[in-house]
Amino acid sequence: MQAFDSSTFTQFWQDWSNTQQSLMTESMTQMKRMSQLPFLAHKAQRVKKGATPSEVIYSQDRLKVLHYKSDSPPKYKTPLVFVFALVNRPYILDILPNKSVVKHFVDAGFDTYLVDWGVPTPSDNRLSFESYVDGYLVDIQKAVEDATNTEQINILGYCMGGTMTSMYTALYPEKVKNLILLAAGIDFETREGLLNLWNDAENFDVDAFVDAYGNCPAHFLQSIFLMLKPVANLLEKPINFIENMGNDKFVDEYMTMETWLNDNIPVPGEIYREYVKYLYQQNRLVNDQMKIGDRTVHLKNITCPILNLMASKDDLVPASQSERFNDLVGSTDRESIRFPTGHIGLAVGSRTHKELWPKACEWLAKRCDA
Amino acid sequence: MSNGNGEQKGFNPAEANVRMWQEFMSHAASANIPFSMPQNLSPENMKVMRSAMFKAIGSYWEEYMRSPEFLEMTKKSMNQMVEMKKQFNKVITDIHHELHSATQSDISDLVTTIGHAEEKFHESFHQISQRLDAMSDRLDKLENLATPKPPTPKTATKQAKKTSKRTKKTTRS
Repeated sequence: MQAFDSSTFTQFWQDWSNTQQSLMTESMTQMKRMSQLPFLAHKAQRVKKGATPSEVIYSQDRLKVLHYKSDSPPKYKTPLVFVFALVNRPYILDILPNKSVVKHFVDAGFDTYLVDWGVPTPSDNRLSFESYVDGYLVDIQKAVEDATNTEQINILGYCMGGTMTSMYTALYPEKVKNLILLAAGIDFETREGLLNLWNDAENFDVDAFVDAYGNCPAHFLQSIFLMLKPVANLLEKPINFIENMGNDKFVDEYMTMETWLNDNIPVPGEIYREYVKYLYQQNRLVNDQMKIGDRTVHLKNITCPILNLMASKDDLVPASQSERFNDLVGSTDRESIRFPTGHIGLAVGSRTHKELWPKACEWLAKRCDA
Repeated sequence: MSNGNGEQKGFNPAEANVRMWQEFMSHAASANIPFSMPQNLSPENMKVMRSAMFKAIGSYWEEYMRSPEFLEMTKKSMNQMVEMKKQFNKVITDIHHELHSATQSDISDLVTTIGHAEEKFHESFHQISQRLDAMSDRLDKLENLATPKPPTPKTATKQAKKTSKRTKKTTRS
């Protein structure tokens, strides 16, 4: 038997002591995190939807047009209208005072409006691209024109809102002064994103789906979005949350984001069918085959200045889906920016608020009359 | 897995698993943490390792979700889901009909009928409006023909010249 070695004993004692200390520290941290649990529900209920004060200036069916109030009168004559997607709610663009895209433009002196499409009911399942592009958007433009006494508007379209506003601008080029697209799906040829692959005609029978469900259900869309990044959404995010439960600022921001992410709404069946069938499966918009009513959308008709903003890490609308837009329009003044962030990061990322949005405001200000 | 051209090949779990571990090792190596020393296993370093592991698992999943096997499985489950929903709708509709109450499909049919009626009204109004425009044009033309045109300044001077010439001729004669 080996003789007892005092140095081995000291080493063992030191290791054991270190382990105990680590265990104690970890237990204390865990207890501190768990002590926050009773307050989480309260924090979740406290989440505000929209940071900048606003008023409704127009409503029709489910939609509302919000006008953002400013302390000073607008510097620029032409108003700016934000057009959001039909998926999720538009308050992501004004989610927190320090992360509000709307606030950037209001502070820069733009008379700013936002279209909230509202929550569709089962009876709205017949609303199509024609209803939105050649119906609601026309009425919204008129309402904003009446409110501001102008004949043109600036438009910022986000995601599917960008797709719709590009169609609108192609149909009514004289009505739009400047067009800003934010992660807008235009060219659906790419198979870079999983959504493009899953929506292929051989993988997804959209007609049968819409016929059975009417509107595209919110829970279906939510599960699809979660599946795009299952490890990040179902593992990394909860672990990250548990680790930062003691950080009030982190918890507040997390709760606000989660409230928005889980605030899904159904998409009217007909427009969902057209979006998947005509755009994802047949890529009609870039091939000059997209019809709105009895008129064909020609992107070449767009002649106003264009700012095309894309996210290089976008898993929902890959940048390759948006970047071709600038080559398809008739405008000579066109610019595109690829920013290293994700789809939602474009609206809420700290870096985008420091770098991208001031640049976008400057771009628009240069092209608007004071 | 799908390549950039949309061509797809089968998903090989063993190969993908090897790739996942390779990716994990490369992420871990790029973090430059000397794991041979136990004191380097700090919580921060372990977080870096965990992040590398998640990245590797994420890539593995993405590869799987692009595979024909996954797409086929999703398609089948979607078809089943749609079929179940159809059957459920049918059962609900039958129950409602038995109870003599309106169903979603009845309301939907009613909305379609109203939509068609609205379209017909629009068409009729459009036709009436076109006919009214045409009638108005014709009336304007008729009105123009019926009422003699008041002399314009040019014709008035011409007529004045003619009459003055005539009076001159008569005085000469």
